[in-house]
Formats: sequence, C-alpha cells, structure tokens
Amino acid sequence: MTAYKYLYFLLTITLLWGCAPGDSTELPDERPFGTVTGNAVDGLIVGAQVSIYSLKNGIRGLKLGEATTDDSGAYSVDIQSPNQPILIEVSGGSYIEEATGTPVSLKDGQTLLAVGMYKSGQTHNFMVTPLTHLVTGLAEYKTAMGMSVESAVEEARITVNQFFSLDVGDTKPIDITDENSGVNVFGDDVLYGFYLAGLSDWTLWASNENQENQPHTIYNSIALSQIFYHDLLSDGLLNGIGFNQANTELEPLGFGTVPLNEDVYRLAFSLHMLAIANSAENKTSFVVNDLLDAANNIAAQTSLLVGASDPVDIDNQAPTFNNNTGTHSLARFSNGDGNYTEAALEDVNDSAALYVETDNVELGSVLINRATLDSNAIPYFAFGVSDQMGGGVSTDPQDITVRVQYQRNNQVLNPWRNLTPINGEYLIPLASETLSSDWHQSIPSDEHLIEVVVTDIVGNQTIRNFSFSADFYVPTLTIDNSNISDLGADIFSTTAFTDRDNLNDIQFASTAYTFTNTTGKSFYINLSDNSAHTTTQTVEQLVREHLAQVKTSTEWRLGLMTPAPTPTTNECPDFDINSGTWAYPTTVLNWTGNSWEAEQVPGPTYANPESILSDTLPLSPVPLGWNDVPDFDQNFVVTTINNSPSWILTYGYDYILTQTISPPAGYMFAWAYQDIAAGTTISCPQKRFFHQREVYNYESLSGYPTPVLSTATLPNTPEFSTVSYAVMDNDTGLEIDPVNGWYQIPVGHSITTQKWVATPNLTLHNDDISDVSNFPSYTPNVYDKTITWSVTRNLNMSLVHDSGEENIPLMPVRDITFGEGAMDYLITR
Amino acid sequence: MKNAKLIAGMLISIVSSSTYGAAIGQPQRTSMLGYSIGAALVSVDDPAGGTEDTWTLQPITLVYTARVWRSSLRYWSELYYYKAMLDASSTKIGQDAERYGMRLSLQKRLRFIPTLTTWFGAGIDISQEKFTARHTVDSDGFLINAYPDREGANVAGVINVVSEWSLPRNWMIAAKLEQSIPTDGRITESQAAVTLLYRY
Repeated sequence: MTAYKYLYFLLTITLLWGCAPGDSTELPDERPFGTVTGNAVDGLIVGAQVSIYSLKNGIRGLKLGEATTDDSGAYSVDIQSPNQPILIEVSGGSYIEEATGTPVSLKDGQTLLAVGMYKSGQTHNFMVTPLTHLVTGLAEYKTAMGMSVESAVEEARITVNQFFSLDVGDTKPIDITDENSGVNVFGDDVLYGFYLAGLSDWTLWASNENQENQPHTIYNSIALSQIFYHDLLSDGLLNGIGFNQANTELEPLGFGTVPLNEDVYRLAFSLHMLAIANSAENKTSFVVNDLLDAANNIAAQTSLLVGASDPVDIDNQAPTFNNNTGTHSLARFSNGDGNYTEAALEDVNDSAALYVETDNVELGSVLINRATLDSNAIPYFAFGVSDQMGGGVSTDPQDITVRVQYQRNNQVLNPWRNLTPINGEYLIPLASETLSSDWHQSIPSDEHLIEVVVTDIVGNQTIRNFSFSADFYVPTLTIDNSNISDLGADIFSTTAFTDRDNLNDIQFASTAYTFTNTTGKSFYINLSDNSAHTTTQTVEQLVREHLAQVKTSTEWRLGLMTPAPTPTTNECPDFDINSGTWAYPTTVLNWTGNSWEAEQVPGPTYANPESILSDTLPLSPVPLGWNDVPDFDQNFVVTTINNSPSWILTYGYDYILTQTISPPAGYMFAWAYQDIAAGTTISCPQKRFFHQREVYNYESLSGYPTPVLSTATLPNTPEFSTVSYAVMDNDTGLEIDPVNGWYQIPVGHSITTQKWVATPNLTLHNDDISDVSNFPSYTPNVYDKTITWSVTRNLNMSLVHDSGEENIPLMPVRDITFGEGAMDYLITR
Repeated sequence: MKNAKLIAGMLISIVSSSTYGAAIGQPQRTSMLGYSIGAALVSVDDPAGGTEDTWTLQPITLVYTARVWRSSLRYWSELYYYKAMLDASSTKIGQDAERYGMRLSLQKRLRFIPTLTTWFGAGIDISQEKFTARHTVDSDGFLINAYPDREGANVAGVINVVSEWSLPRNWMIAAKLEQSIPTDGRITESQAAVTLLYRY
C-alpha cells in the first residue's frame, strides 16, 4: 500500500467523522403547573381535605395534589399534570345544614366528588357539591359500561347540567342563609344555592320521617349525597334502585324509612327548594316565585338521569282541609231570650247567633287545646290541613302555611297572621286574643268572618271561611238576699199614728240591691218594677147588728077516710078536700108489713144568718103548695070483713093516726063489697089524701139585735207602685246618671241600686167607737187601727253588654228579677 | 476531541500491526482495511428503569481484517463509535448513549454458495459507554424526571456473520450481521452493517 493510499483512507475517515452524530439531547422542560380552584359546598364545607386524582382510564389514579378548604369552602391546588380527566374528592371537614343550622361533620367514607378535564398548565374552577357528586357517579357508571373516561365525564356533565339547567361544575352556589351574600340578581348561582338548600330541607323532612331526635344528625345532606352517588353508579339512573351492599344485585334504596325513587328525587330538588325559599332560613331577597320555573322544570324532567317517562306532578293541587265537618267545638247558640241551645259549630253559622257571655270572651290563662277550651266553654273552629306534593309524597306540615284574618262587617280587625298547629290541627278559639281585643263589642247583626288561607310551599292556596254572628250577653247576675236590704222602716216607725196622714203621697227608697261587676266588662242596666205594692188598712168599727135566719118547716095533712060499710051504705070511701076536715099530724102510722111504725114529720132547717139592718124581722116567705108525701114503703094492710051470708067487705089501707079495728086511713085501695044475697059486688077506686108542704119563718139569732165592736180590714185599699230608682257607685261614692234609662256599670265596681216607691193617698178613719153598749146605728163608726204598706222586693234588671252607648237598643238583653217577698211598712194605733 | 484522538490512535495501531504482519509473512493480499456503516438496534439496561430500544446509525466503524496463516480463519477487528438517542416516555428513560470501543472476533470461512464467501465469527467487544441526558417525560413530552449521567466500560461477547463480494481491483464489499451480548447488561446491540474493504 502506498502512502497516498493511507492518506486517502485517512482523509475519508476524517470526512466520515464529520458526519458522525454529534448532537446531544437537551433535557425537555418540566410540565408547567396548573391550578385547580373551587369551592366545596353542601353548605360551605370548611376544613375539608381536597384531593385531586388522575382519572385516567376511569379509575382513581395518582394523587395530583391536595389542599384544605378555607372558611368559605374554597380550595386551590397547584398540580403538574398532563391533560387528563381528574377526580376531585372532598372528605372530612364540616358544614352547616341550611334548613336547621345544624353543624354536620363529614364522617369517614363520606365524600363529595367532582370530575373534570384538566388542561395542563391552565387554571380550572371546579365546584364540589352534591350535584357534582351526581356527575361523578354517572361518569363512573358510564366508564364502567365501556365508555372512555373523557366521553363519560363529558356526557355525565351535560346530562346533569341539563337536568338542573345550570353548569353544576362551574357555578358557585350562593349561601342562602347568608343575609350578606350581596346577590341581588337571580342567576344560576342563586338557583344552585336553593337546590342545595332544598336538599337540606328535604333531609330535614326525611329526618323527621325517621323520627330522629336531633334532625340532621344521621339523615343529612351529605348522607343523601352518598346515596345519590351510589344510585347513579349502580345503574346510571337516579331512580332509587342500586346495588345491595354485596354488590350482587339491584334492590330498592331508601333513606332510612323513606323509600327513594325518581319522583322523590325530583321532589327533593324542586318542592323542598321552594320550601326552604319560603322559610325563615332564606335570608336572600329571592322568593318562591323566583324559583317556580326551575322547580317545575325539575319536576317535569324525564331525562335519562332519572329514567322517568312521565313528569312528576309538582303539586298543582291546593292543600286540603281535613275533616271538613264535625271537628269544630260545641257552641252555645242564642235563643234570643238569654238562653241558649248547645250545638256544634258549623263553618257558616247563620241560623242563629252565638251565645257568648261577656265574662268568657277572652282566653286569659286558658291553654289553647281542645280539652281546656271545652272545659272553659270557649268555642273554637278546628281543622286540619294536608297537602300532596305529588308523587305520593305528602308535604311536611311544617311547610304548610296557615294564615288567618278576622274581620267584622268587612272591616279587618286583625290582619293576616300565621297560625300554629296544635297537636296536628289548627284551633281558632273565639276569644279576644285570637280574634280582636274588641271583637265582643258587637251587635247581634254584626257579621264576624274568620278567613283562613292555607298555602303550600308551591304557593297553592285553599281558602276557608268561618262566619258567625254573636249575641253578647252579660252573664247572669245574682244578688242574694243578704245583699238586698229594706230601707224605709225608719220613716214609718218614727211617724206618730195621729200623724199618719203624713204618710200619704210620699216617696221613699224602699229597697236596696248591692252587687259587684265581676264580669270583666262594663255593662248597662235598666231597672223596672211592675209590681203592685199593696196597702192594708185595718180598722175598729162599732155598729148595731141584727142577725136573723129563715126557718124552713115541713107540714103534713091527712084526709082520713072511713070504710064503715053498712047494708045500706055501700058507697065508696072518700074525703072531700073542700069541706073535709084535714088532720095536721106530726106523726103518722105506717104499715111496714109486720107492724105499724110511727113516721115523724121531718124537722126544720135553717138558712144562713142574714144581717138585717133593723131591729124588725122581715116578713116570712109564703109557704109552697101541697104535694103528696111519698110512700114510706110498699107495704099496706089488706083486711076482710066477712059478714056472711049477707056480705063480705075487702079493702087495703095505710097512713092512720090510731090503731083501731077499722081505723080511718089516708090511703085506701082495692075496696070491694060483695052482696052475697044479691049476688053483686061493688068495687071502688083507690084514694090517697096524705100531703106535705114547706113553711118559712124568720127568726133572730140569739142575742140580736145588739151593738158590735169589731176589727175589720177595709177592702179595696189602693195599691201603689215603684216610681224611680237610684244607682250608686260605691267605689266612687257618686250616683250614676242614666242614659235613656240605662246605667253604665263599670268593671269591678260595687253598685247599689235603690227602688223608690210612692205611697197612695189613703182614706183615714177617726169615728167614735166608745159607746159599745148602746150604739143604735146600723151605720158603723170606724177608727183606723193599723195601716200597712207592703212593698214587694221584686226588681227587674235588664242587662246589656257595653258595646257602645249607641248600641244599647240593639244589644240582646238579659232580664233578671231579684228579690223575694215583700217588706211591710206599718203604723198602728 | 479526546475521544476522537483515542479512536484514531487505536485505529492506527491495529492497521500498522496488521500491515506489518502481512508484509513479512503473507505475500498475498489477505489483509483488508475498511470502513463500515450500519445500523444497530440498541437496548440499554438502565438501573433507573426501562428504556426504549432504538435503532441508531453507526456511522464510523473502521475495520481491519486479516487471515490467520492461510487458514480459513481470520480475525476481524473494528474500531467504532456511535451515539444512540433513546426516546423518553413516562415509563421509559430516555437518554443519549454514547459508545466507542473495539471488537475483535475470529471468523471462519464457510462456503455454502460457491459465489458467496461467508464468515462466521465470535469474539469480544470492549467499549467505553456514557449515558447522558437520562430522563423520563410525560405524554406531552414534559420532563418528568432527570437522572444523572453514568458511564463505564463494557465487555460483551459478539457473534457475527459476514458475507463478502469482490469488487473490481482490490475492493470488496461485505455485509455483516452481529449480535453483542453484554456481560454487565448495559447495552445490547443487534447490528447490520455494510463494509467497504480494500485489500492490500
């Protein structure tokens, strides 16, 4: 090899050397830091650990950074990461439930999650709330179903955002309990805040459903969020169906005793958002109406998120009154005469006015419940209310507002105010405290109206009116005898008898009635007394008296007939009443069938004594005419005189004077004379001449005529009446002036009323009655002995409730009568 | 420059000694000097983590070969230098692997095809290696980790096969396939190269 060949070879090598790789690798720059900021809100979650993880491939990866939330729930984490989905986890810390103000600490295992797409080096704002928790659960479900994590996150975000009509990951919710939030324009941040507060309100309801002693201790918003997440993660639907704890099968989910389903979720987000907006916890300027569209939108959601095909009925039904009849109390209905009939109150009580005694128009210390109101006879309207939110869920009674207004004659006396339930029902006692302090100052024609408006959290309203009129009566006033006193005795006891004419035509207070107004209300009284007070005037009178009486005597007469038959005188026995001689016996023999009995003429009778104003007896009355004396019996003697063979005489007879063989008799019958020889028989008709009559004679009673001194009560002495009254206020010492006859009785005052009477003008007597032995005149001399003025203690008092002087004639009147018996004022000689 | 001088020195010494041997014992021209260019699949065993295999150009390889006493054996020596840049990823450590060294193998000619001369050989590879810019990057190429440089000597066994074709005058062209098997596992290399040889 020649030298030039070496040279050539080396030259080639040198050239190739220059082509050798000489560049060195420069180290690349480090990835720039990005910042993830946001707020953890379920109520502001303070002191919480915020951890950000890589979410590549849908699984929690490397922790990219962490931070702790501050007092406003804000966090900020600087991370150095490539573009990738990230998972933000909030754990620990505490927040305050909006609905109750209860502080809640997140328990181990309780988290709020959010997912988002991180762009390297950029600043991101990711909220972490129960709603981003939903996004995360849905995204994880979609990832588990095979979707790329980027797509899953995006679809979940869009789905949830559409459901709530706001960007749940980017919008910072306001704190509706912060009165200094300074937010005055309704926007997504406001809506977001109300959504979350609505969850707090719903969990309060659920907490009560679970009978939790301290609401929100277990059943709170963060606990509900865990169920949201589990529900979505299980089947991608917010429908209350999720895996069991073993993750082996789907089963219904619940929040304690509250079953969950898509409707509950929709209602939880919608209606309770309205409820919290309608509550005192809402310190913002926004009201239910601002949220109605959003609430309706949620309730109407049929999106894939809830898997529901039908929108839920968002409570477009007004609340209802329970037990529309029969729940009101018993009440007294006025009969118009101060009495009442007890019956149950109706909504409209227009058939009769209520009977209300004015000492029972206020509750005072009476506790408002059925038992005490009933025992105190305070009537009340009672009702319950209920409301269906929709979806089979009832509105929490606390979310139902019951307002009441009282008006009289269309004039509002007590404007709208809230009514608080008592033992699950609402009671409106008819009393000053619940109606109006002057509700009792009403006349019977006044129309009392209690308007009740029940409003649910959506604003649906139901109106119910209760109406009545009322007779306000002063309670029955009692004045017992110890408070009734007679006043006029001194006047009479101090007047000499000889001056008794001074007692004619005088007026004096006869009776006093004392009472105290304990009714608690002033009232008016009107006094009357229609009693006729009487006078009794007793005198001694001297007069000649002649008492006589009429004597009535019975007189018999007997026309005696002799049978005395002879062969030549066969004439019939008879008595000539014109020329015959009557016997006037006092005794007549009567044949009794066995023997003769003497029958006596009846004895005399005397009429009542008569006063005869003369010493001479008056003429006796003329005797009455003769008439037959009735037979004493039906027994008569029948005798036969047998003078055969010449003749045989047979006859019957009775009423004789003496017993002989053939005595003359006043009565003969069946007289028959048989002439045996001639063969003839002569018969005669019966004859009876036994008569009686009454004879009258005046006879003076023994001792008469004679002067008589007696005490007599003069008849027809005049009556007298009550003429006036005086009403004294014992507390003031002043007399109460009447207005149109009505006296106003102040509350608590002791009152004495006096009844004044006017004595009549009596005729007085002063005749001489000293000649008791020889007083000749049948015209009496009279001298007063005792004069009595008898004043009945009756007092009629009409009472009306003081509803204003001008209303006195319109008020119902209670009439009471006091006093028994009478007071006798007398003067005697 | 230091490396270049070292390589140049090694190359001159090899060529000089071979030339000298041929001049006194082998009147026939059995020594050849050549330049080789090739590509190698380089794997780096990095203690900090995995690396990405990479193909790298081996632009400078000087070859000297000579028969061993008219036998069917010859030795094949190379001085080489290359620099491989391994790509980084989040799991693979990227780095610049710079290597220079000398390979010496004993080859035996086997003629399977009458027109083709094929040498099979085995030998050793002694090299100096330097690994710089060791780092990992994320998917977006941002540096995740940077590692310190490292360097050291490497001894590897090699096997190869070389086929040669004669060119006009004293020139030949050879194709070589070679696999190095490091003893300490730092760099594993599979190489294919074309060598232009000049017989003298």
